[in-house]
Amino acid sequence: MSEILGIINFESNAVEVSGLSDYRGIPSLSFMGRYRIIDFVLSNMSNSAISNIHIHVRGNSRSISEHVGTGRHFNINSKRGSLHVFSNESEMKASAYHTDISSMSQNLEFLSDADEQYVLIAPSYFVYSFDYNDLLAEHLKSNADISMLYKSTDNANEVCIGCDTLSYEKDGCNPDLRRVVSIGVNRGKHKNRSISLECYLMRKSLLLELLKEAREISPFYWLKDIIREKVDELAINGVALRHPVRCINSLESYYTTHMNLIDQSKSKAFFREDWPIFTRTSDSPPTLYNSTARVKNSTISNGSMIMGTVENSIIGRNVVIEEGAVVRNSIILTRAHIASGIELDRAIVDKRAKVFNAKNICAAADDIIYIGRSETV
Amino acid sequence: MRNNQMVAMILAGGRGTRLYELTDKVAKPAVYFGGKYRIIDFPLSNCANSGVQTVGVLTQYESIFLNSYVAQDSRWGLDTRDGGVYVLPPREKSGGFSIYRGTADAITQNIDFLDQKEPDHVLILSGDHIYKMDYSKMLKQHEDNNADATIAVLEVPLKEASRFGIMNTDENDRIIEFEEKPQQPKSNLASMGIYIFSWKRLKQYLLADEKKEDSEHDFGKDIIPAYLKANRSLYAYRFKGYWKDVGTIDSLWEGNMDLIDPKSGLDIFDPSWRIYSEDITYPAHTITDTAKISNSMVNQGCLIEGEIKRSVLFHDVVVAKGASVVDSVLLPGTRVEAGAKLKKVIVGEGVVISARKKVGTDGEVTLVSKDI
Repeated sequence: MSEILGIINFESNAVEVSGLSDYRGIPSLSFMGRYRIIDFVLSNMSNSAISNIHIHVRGNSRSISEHVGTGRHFNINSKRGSLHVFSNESEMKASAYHTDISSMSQNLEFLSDADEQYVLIAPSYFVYSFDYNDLLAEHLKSNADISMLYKSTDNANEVCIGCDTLSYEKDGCNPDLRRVVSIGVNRGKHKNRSISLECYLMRKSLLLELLKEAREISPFYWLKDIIREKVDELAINGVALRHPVRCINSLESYYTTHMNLIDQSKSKAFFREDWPIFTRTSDSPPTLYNSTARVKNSTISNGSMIMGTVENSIIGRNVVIEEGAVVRNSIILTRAHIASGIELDRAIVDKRAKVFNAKNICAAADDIIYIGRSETV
Repeated sequence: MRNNQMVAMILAGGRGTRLYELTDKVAKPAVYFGGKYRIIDFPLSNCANSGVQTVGVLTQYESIFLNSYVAQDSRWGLDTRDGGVYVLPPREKSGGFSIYRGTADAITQNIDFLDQKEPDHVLILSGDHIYKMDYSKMLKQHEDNNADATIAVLEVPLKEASRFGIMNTDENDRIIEFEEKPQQPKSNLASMGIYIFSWKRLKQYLLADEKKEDSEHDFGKDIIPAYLKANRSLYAYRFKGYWKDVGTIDSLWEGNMDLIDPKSGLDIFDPSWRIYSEDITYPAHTITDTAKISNSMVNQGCLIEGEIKRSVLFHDVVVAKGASVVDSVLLPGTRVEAGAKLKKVIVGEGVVISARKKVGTDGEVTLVSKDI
């Protein structure tokens, strides 16, 4: 049994994939055709043998609850392991009160009762494949109070805008400690930054103390706020993630990440053979291509029927692209239907949308068009 | 369906020698079909979709894989509280150990299992046919007729009728005669090997048949004739739709090709009648800019850089640049290296076709079961 309790945290207000996230939280967003964003952090935990997992959801938890189910399809033992979905039931109406601190505090007994000594807290919106036991090993070696994952980036002026950054120093007396000395925000002004993945490992007892302290300071405090404040007081160890990371915190990053990962030489670091990414099956048949299909450089999910032209695009499950339809540089989500004669370029078509009448939906070079869930255009 | 109203028993013990190397290590029902399925997914999904919740699977030949495959009953949603998939290979009993000597004997040896479930009716299925069928409709007719047995039949062209077991019926579709592969067929109603029996009556006949020394203990050859001889009420249930026995390399290939032919009548896209299978963790497949694809079915995990025409690709297949795959079926993990040409072949699981190799002809289907 793992010594780590997994906590999947929700993202702060700053993270918004406009359009798509109006209908569901970031963790439920479709990813690479057949996945949801949350599948990565959840599979990472499951593959790391973490079997007691708390998922905190902001707002409506229906889609996440249905998606994760008992956890069986994420390879979590349904008797020894457990998967709890907590929706933030704060009595405060204003969204500013809906912090991760308040969500964890409301469900404090689930934390206190857990047998695990350590907690690992991570949000969904950073996508990577990683064994959290490696983080635990670094943590134990460093003797730190908290270990946090970060990614060194050389294009921080383009990605991870609004994310936390950290700076660290070698500790004089402890060579295994890469001591975090300050935590700031990436405003996109510099290329080289160490981006915090908001993934923290610490003793459960320390988390309980931090929760208590944060609530005493302010109801608007998030976990990352109290950790930032404790930088001098606590030994915080920065652990660099060597694997590639994608940060999904805006419509643009959502789009660019998808376009980028069509290339299998890039996507294979996220879908490693020894590190399966689990998701919920839809029992769809394989993709069917007919005689009029023209497909180039695209990633296509099961259950879809491709009769038209698809280029540089991601096609979700059970999508229909009719003969004579042209889809370029676009992301088409589950059960969308693109009719004959339609031309799409740089579009994101949400779940169940039907594009029947509009002739050309082509965004300008630096723009993206979004077609809402279940809309008919 | 009330849980003990009908229990299904799937006969899945056959080797399927005419599938050659494809059944070297697995029984015929476990053979791959249609890009992501195994043949037995079809009867199991039909059971689940028809509301038949308790299913016994009678295995014998190379049963290790098949036993573990069907035992994971959640794949078909058959893991309900009172239902489940029960794996029933031959077992040692106080009287000794005996293999299943025939289709009927397989049921006779599991009378204790059925008695424990106390079903009103038993549905006998074979584990090697591709079709979609609502067994609850057949059961309704069986109950409406107050029949002792109901046999599903398919209307086949009269000139092909001599290849099948043929049911001769009266005007009410009551079966008056059964002829196995008749030279001069009197009707075109071919038995699909799908039977519903009222359990109490069937048990009597099975126990009587067990004692007969000259019996082959077979439903078609012994049990049905005994019912007819005793003037029991047997009815034909007319099934309309796609049905195929995929017991040979040719018919297995044809069945796969039917999936990409819109006129074949085999539709696995109908969301109201899903075919369920093992849940594979590969990501969606990728078609690169050097690829060309038409009239094909492709499963997750594939990387397509070459040309694919009229073919069915299972998961984790790689077709490299300049390779061409035409009229073919590639089982999981196949690697087709650069410039290789495949025409009308079935390539076995994990087989590598080296660069620039040419395999297959326009004529017979070629089975490739080793790296070349």
